[in-house]
Amino acid sequence: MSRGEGRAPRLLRALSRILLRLYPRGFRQGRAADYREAVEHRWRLERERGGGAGWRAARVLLVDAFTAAPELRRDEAARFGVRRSGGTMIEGTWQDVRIGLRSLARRPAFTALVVLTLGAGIGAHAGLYGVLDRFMLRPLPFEGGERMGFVTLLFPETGGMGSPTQELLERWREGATTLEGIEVYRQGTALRPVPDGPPERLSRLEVSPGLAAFLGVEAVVGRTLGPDDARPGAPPTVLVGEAYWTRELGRDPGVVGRTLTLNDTTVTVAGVWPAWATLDFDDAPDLMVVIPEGAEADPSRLTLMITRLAPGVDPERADAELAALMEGVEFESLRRRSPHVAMPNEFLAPAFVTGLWVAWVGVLLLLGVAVVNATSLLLNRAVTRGEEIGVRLALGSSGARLVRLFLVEGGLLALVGAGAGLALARWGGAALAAMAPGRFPDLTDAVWNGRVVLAALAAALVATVICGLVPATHLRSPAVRHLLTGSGASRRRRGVPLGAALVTAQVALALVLAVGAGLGFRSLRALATVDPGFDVERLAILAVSLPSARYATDEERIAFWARATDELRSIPGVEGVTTSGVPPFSFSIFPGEPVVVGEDPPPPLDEFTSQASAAEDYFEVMGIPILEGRGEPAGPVEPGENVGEMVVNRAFAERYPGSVVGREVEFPGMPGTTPIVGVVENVRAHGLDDGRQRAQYYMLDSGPAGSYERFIVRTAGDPASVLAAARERITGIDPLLVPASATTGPELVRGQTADRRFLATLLGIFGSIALLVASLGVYGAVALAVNRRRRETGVRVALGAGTGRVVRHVLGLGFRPVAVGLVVGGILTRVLAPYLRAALYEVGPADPVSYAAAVALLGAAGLAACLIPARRALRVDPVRTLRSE
Amino acid sequence: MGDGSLTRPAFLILLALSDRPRHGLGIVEEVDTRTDGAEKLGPGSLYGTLKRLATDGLVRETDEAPDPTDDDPRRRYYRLTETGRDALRAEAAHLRTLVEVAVGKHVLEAEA
Repeated sequence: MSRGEGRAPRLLRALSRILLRLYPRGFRQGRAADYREAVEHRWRLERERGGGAGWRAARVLLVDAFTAAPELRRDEAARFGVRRSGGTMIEGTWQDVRIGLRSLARRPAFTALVVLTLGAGIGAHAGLYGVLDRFMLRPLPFEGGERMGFVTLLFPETGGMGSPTQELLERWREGATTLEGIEVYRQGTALRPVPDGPPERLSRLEVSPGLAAFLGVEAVVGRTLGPDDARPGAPPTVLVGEAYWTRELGRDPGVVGRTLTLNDTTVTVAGVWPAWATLDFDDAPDLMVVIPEGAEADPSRLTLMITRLAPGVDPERADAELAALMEGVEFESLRRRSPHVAMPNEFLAPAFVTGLWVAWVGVLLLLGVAVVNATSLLLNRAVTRGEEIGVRLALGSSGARLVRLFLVEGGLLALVGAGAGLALARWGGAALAAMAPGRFPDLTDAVWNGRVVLAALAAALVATVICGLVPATHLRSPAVRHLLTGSGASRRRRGVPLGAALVTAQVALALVLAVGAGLGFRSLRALATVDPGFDVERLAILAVSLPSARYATDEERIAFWARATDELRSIPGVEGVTTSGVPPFSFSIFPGEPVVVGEDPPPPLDEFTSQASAAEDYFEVMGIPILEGRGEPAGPVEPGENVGEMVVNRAFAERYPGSVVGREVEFPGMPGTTPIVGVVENVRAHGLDDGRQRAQYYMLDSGPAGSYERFIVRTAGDPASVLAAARERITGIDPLLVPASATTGPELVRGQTADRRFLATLLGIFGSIALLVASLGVYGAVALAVNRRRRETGVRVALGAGTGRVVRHVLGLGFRPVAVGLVVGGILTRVLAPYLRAALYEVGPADPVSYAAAVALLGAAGLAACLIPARRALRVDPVRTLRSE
Repeated sequence: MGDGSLTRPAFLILLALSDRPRHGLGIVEEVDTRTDGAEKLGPGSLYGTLKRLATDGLVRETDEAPDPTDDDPRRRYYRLTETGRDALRAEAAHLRTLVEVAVGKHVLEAEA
């Protein structure tokens, strides 16, 4: 009867072997040989029909496995008298879901514990993924957003940004093939008069006419602005931001066509700009206006350029093309700058980026602890469900079925845990947002997007697989089966080492988090105690901008500044007032270093020099000690007059023999020299964590004369108390004026430490949760071990073992895996900690204090977790125990 | 099968056995050949149905002389019982009636 030659292909045979496992045991045991022969026979039959025989044969086998096999199972079950409702895999799984739900509902405390444990891990994971997604992974939310970036003009050495000229902008727009358009925007403010009070200061975005079309954004109501609004003579129109529209205008659709008075001009509202269409990490603007045609570039103000790379183009190519297009354009102020297309996350501080990724690893570790803990709980419970499992196995439940049962249970717990976790992340996100570094907007909207939910589900899936598979495969081993169906006598068995391994894993992961938290906190403390070199605690800083419409001449401006200075000085509690072109911690940066004339230039301290301007009383107000010479002009000067003198810092002066006061200094590449009139102490010019010692110099300033100035006010007490009065005094001089910004020295410091505080807090939270979860894990494992060893303990006590020995025995049992976990965790931390370096400050990744504290804390927690079951072991009544066995 | 109608695999197996006893793979080959590959019995379908048919008394195993060309004396052979033949006939007649309805409604063309 055999026609055709040769055996079936190996793949087909392998498939048939896999599919055979779907048939019931009776069939497998009785008909395995027939099945194999049938496979070969089918192959031969199909071979005679021509090409594609393997596929056709495989299809027959597959159809048979999914239709005939379930029927055979039903028949087999009916023969054994066991009711099986549903033979297909879907029906079986649904049955397992019902069984699982009933089983979990019967043990609400256990279920709640596992759900909370998993929820903590999954929630933290989802929450942090939301943050990562918002700031690192998600491109700008526009069409082609993943290719969008910002064109910047940078000093190559320092990264300082500059703005283009109109000519350059047009050259780029016309000539750049690597970019799909360049649109421009600037941030400004507008004043809206308010009855009975100072005017309302609104944030205003000035945009190029083509921006809305470029981004593909449509107005929520009304229309967006376009080229028609930028033509000369076009009526002044404005868009209102959606957040402002909601907050102040009650989302009234009738806002379209309404008129507003802004900066003394009446404008008409054309529409509402949607809140989702934010251009960068700043908050959505209150207002949006279009820049008149031909005036898009304004080198005196920071102009931001948004662009989209052409498909397939990388930023480096675009940079090169933009640089090439700059050749020959007259732009003196841009001489030293080079263009660069920066993708959005390049604007985040490196410490924050590192911190985010570190927190991500921390979250994965926490999730690991949670999953391991949940697995351990499920395993322990599976062992105590011995009777039920034993019955199932005896009734012929296949290993696959058992695995499915555990997977379903694990999956149910993980799904509920994921739901709880997402809720936790939402709540936690709101709390974190309140604490997050000030420049980052509301994090709650980061949590509820599809990707975050997917991340939570992915974590839940991993948890399901591990939590389900580990107990299931463990229980299928013959030795364990004997245990489940046996007398429960205490013997050496495989269950204990696995449970201990899980405890070790939890403790190790928790230690990594705890050390990370310790390092974070110590960095934070180190940063907080840094001496900035000036008296930051008692400073208030106000910036005021004079509208050119009402302060057109130098005289008008100088008169205002003089009056404002006097007003501020007269506020009770104010000890001194000065002005500067830069705020504290934000000096300007210039490439190269000035050199004392007539001396061999010493090796430069750094690639560039920090610079600030210093008006009358500057050093006194700032609290910067004058070490030599003077910090003021020698005689009276008129505001606006060029003083032509400078003061240098100690680091600069020390490198020259003798005193530098009275010597002339020249700047590389620039004509002329400037005399040094004083030497002052070094300060932290660019941030609290800026420990690099650079040359710093101050150009003496004759006093405020421009249209934008920064007041620095020294106060006797808390500077925050002076801010309100300061605002009032300014508005008192000119009711239409409101300070552009007002902050205090302590607030600046808080801003400086915000990133690290955020990171330290995150790691601290994760470390605490991990500690709690790991402790619970230790407790659970030890409690189970004590329970299993009742008989043994009973025997020991009956034989006269004292309480001390019993307790030591239990402690030894429980603490051994903890101790191993501490060692493993210590090694793991040493490997991972160096990645934290960028986010640390004055603390090394191997800081012994952090390690010691974490080990002590976890060790103590582990010990305490062992003590409770140990004490319970003491209460074992030996007679009763032995009798019941 | 409890309600009197035959499943497709059952019908095919009974049909294959209607002219002479066969073993399992012989049944598969007969069905495959007669329908030109349109009907293919998988091993689970074959043996499961055979078992049910045997339980219901429609087929039985036989000791009759195997196919002289068959070189494996271990093969189990099956034959149709009278009950099985009756059931087969009834089902075939039923199917013919259905075909006549289909022809009457011009779903199928009448055979020439």
